[in-house]
Amino acid sequence: MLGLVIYMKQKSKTWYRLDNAGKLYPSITSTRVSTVFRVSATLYKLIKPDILQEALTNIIDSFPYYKVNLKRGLFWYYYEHTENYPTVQKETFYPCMFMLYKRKKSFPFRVLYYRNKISIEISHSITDGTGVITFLQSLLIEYFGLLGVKTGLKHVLDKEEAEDAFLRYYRKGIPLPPKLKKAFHFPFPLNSKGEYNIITGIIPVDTIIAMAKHHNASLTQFLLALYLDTIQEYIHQNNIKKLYPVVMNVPVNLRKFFPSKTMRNFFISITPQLDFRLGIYSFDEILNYIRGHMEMSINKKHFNQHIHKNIKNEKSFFIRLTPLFIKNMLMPTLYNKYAERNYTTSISNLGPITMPKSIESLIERFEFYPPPSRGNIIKAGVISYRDKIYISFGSLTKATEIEKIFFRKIRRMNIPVKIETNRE
Amino acid sequence: MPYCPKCGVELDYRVKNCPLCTFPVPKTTEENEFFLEESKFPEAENIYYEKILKVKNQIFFTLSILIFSAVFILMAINSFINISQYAIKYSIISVISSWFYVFLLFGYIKNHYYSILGMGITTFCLTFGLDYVDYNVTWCYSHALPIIILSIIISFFLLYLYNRSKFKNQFIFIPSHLCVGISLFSIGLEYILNHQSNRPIKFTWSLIVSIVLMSTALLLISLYYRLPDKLKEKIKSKLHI
Repeated sequence: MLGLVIYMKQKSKTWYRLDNAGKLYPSITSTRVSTVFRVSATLYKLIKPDILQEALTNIIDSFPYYKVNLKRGLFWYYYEHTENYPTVQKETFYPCMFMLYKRKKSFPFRVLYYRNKISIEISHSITDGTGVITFLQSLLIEYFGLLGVKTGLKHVLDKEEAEDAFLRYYRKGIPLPPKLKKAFHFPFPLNSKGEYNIITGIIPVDTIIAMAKHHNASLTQFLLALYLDTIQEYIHQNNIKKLYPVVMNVPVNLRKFFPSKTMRNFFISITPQLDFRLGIYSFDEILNYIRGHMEMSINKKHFNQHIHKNIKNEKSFFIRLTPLFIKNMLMPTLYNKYAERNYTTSISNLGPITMPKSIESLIERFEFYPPPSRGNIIKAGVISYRDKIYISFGSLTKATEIEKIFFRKIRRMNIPVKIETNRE
Repeated sequence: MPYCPKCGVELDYRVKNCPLCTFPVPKTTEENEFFLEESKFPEAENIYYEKILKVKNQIFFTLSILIFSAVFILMAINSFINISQYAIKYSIISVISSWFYVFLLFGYIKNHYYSILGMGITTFCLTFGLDYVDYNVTWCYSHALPIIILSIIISFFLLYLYNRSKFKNQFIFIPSHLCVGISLFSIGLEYILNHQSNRPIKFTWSLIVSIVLMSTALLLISLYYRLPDKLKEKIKSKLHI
């Protein structure tokens, strides 16, 4: 009997509930809404796949919450710990393509290499940008460690890393935030399924920060205003009459406001919006609005409202008791109605990436590609490393109007821009 | 370094046209750099259609085996058991034509106009086969053939309309086009039925269907276009209180 108990204990695997934000993603995943985003690092030397594999195998046990397979429960999906190890793959497909992580023995992320570049593509159901940056940093430290570069820094597992921080900071009895209404959407035809276009603009970080300071704004505020101004110019150039407000989705890392070491999702989105039916806004007017909106939105009280809203839905008795297959059927429509439909686009800034001094000069750049989405066909991801900032537009359309206006605006400010793309 | 003269942005040596505005990039004197520079992205494969085709082929193969097994079983029953020959023949003809329908519905023919034509031909063969079971063709030419031709023409028309409006609001255009299609079909159907039965050509039920559906279509489309200003003014002048 005792033997049986020990055997059962050994057999029972650790499992993780999906965090509050992550719960949604497996149900809405489709070919065009892959919910997969990418963070990559480009080195100065060619990648050695066998060393990269060894590095991945060495570090994955210190990230047990990523060493998992997605499983179906009766009411929710969950992640179950696996004894298998992920393998690195040569990059052959378009970035951020759909991942069959619902299949048995599939990991919710992939580690890719191509020439000098190491990329991690990961499902949003398991982590956000902050989580994947830490994972990539650890992978790079281990990779260079195996190549003989000493850094002395290794990721050490902390129990708090697996927590659902949304639940920890959930407070009852707070009024819900106001609902959003239908937003303007880009009227561009979609690409064929399985294709995702990237246009990255590389800009000297000092120059653009100086320009942002000149306008008395932070970098994110400046880029956000520039993006809104771009959309305004596009609307007026094309004389679009059927207009809705332009709503931006800007994810904010909550770890800075609610102390947590979680390596899972912990962000909410703020939604600055402008209605161009009211007339033409000057760049300074847009910037003033953005500055005011961000000052009002980026505070604990506002975040508490959103955390409350998200957790309230999750805790709803009715939603919890709805079988998973029904959730899977309804979720894409509900997600479109209550989320994607109410945003025009998104811009996500992962901020500056720092690496240990000994390997800093061995890495040329980091890039961040946002996840493709049928509802918001163009999204932007921003990341900076050393003296450069990398602004990547991920797009499900062949049209390049938005990117063209955006980067031309930067050029007109006399800021140098280098463009790279995966378009043919 | 190559630059786009229109956008003013710096580009890779390998790029022939500006990725932002597609303007041809002027050649630089540093041509050798082209050979030194490596592409930042792999030549991406799109495996989506390959995967879909693989799954589709598997399903089609399974269905084909099931359909042809059904035909053989029916033929075996026909030779061993003494039951109505007509029933067996009807079943065999229906099962065989279902294979053609599955083939066409799975989209193996890329051009949708040809698919519709294929559907029409299959339906004609099916109706002919069902009618010819007793070696006496009665209703196939008189009733089935005109109805099939009518359906094909209306389907071609609907497909043409769909292709024209596929980037517009599909919640408006698909239902309104369907309404128009069904109205036209019901008028045509009533005409064929009356004509073949040697009754006087009168439109009764089809007229009701058409009025209802055409008004729905008109309402949907005018909601989308929000009525032209001229018409708005006319309605205002006629109905003002």
